[in-house]
Amino acid sequence: MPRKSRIRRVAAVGIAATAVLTLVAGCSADAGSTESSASSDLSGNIIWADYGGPTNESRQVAYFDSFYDETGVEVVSTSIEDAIYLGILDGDSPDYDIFQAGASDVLPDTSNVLEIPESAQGDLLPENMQPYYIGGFIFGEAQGWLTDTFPDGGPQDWVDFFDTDKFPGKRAWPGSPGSFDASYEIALLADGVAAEDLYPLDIERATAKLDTIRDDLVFYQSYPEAQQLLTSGSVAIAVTVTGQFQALINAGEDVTVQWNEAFAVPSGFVASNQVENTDEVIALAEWMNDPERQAVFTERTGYGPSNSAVFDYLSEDVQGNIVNSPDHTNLIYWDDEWRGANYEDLVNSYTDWLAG
Amino acid sequence: MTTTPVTVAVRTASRSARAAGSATESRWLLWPPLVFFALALGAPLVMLLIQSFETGGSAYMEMFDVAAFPAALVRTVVMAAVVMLLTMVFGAFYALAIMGSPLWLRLTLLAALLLSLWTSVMVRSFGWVLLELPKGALYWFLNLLGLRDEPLDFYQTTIGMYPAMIAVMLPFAVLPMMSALQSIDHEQLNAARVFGAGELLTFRTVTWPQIIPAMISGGVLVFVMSLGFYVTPLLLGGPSNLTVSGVINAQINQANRPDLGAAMSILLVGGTMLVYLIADRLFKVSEKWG
Repeated sequence: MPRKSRIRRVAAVGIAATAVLTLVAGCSADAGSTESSASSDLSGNIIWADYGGPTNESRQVAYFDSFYDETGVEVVSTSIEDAIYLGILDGDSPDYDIFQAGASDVLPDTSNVLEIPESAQGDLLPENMQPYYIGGFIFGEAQGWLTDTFPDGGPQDWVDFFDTDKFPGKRAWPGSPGSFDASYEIALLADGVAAEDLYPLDIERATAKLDTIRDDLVFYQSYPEAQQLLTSGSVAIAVTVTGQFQALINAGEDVTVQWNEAFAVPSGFVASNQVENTDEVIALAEWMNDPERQAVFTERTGYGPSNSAVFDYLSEDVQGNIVNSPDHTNLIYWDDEWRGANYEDLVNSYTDWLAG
Repeated sequence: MTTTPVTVAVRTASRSARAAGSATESRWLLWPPLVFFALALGAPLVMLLIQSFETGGSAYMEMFDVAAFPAALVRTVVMAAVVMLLTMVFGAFYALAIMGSPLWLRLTLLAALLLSLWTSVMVRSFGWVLLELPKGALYWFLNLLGLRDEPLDFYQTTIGMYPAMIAVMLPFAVLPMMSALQSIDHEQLNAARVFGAGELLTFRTVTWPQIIPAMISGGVLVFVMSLGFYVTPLLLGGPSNLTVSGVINAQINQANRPDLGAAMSILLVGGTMLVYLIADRLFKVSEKWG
């Protein structure tokens, strides 16, 4: 893809500069802790690209700190750039050793992606993701409300969500062009399409259904806005990533999340098969698949684990709000391959519907 | 008798020498801003142009295949025109109110205007969001007075968007009109009075004609700036008031089509420059700002 090469080149300079700096920093750090790295054959560091914030901090606490103590390999986090990671997936030399990428970006063409051994694979990820995904986690897309809003119980499924007579009040809904999230899928489920017949998505039918509820929607531009819309009473129900509900719960609000027909979205990290530090990358992948360590991450973030053994380490309370907990029996999974293949159409049609 | 032409010649020569010297000086002074604009404005624009042609120019055709784009183009121009007209009207009242008020009120109005100008657009727009939310500040106030107990239907509508956009743009319309009002010669007003003109006639024949040019140049500035509006309509108008800038953002950040985004940007920048050049020809806008 030649159109990306310019951005990539500019970004590569920045990454190179960052890498040099981190190398310098790494050398000085190593000098002080030679005894810890002496115990393993692993060396150097791993450049890790994700979206930062509290999630990255949780990874540092749950995985990276102890990995460094054990192996002497430092995981250096950097902020991910779309143009760079898409280039790596296309076969560019890897500026990032491990980077976050949705299944729809990775699965259509895995010829440049590193395969990891079974010992590092998460059994809760879909089978087509398992051979490639490191540090997998599962987030949810669901409807939720402040429990007081519906004292007699809120909407039970997406049909109820569209029933504004039975459940009055505005609904918070993703309103930026790229966040078509589960919008079409939700509309089709509400219109009577069975979960297994969703793909290929009938976009026309979906937007027609969405039109019926449009006047009752309040659009948000960024996910945290959904929290504010709920707590200010401006909306009765919000459809959003479940981390936002978790944040409200963490802040002491009584929130009900409807897990029936919620979307479970597996995500995680991949590496290029051109990385030079394959041993270190695989060691980290195994490290992150350890159930006890993953339980620390799960508890801090509310994101679902990729390893089923993690649930043995979680309290009942925590389990209830984890997307892929065994109690949640009716979850829906996206068809990432279809979504990946039709990504541009989806962005453009959702932009068009939003602006309509 | 023979001395006169010589003196004249000398005087002329020295005058032209002085003129030449000052011209050289001013040319030197022009360098810093020229370099600055070449780097800060020219270079990114060239980069944008290159980006837009990375797929061999097909982006200029394909951008019209993005269904939301042509509609956003029309919507943006209409929106900018409406904001311009409303801002000119409100701005004229505001400027007249500032000039005609007692000192304390004049200072208050002026302070409000400048404070608004110095505050980030993001902050001002978000303030309006808090005001307009279905159960926001406005609802709270109406509810307090016992006037409303249903949530407001104001947020994310076209009607809800304009007050915020006018508030954001108001300083750019008021300031030139204020300076025009200030420069009116008071002798002209006195003369009008002396010849028996009432308040209204004085206003119509003396004041009004002198603020019209400032009003137009303020309006053109507001129109041109409104073409690039992004944050305010996005936050207050909701997605159904998506502007060109919003579509550009979607192409670059979400659709991963930087070439389409660049082509759309070139069209927007080019269109904006064209509008400004035409307005400048018609109304001599740059003179008012020079």
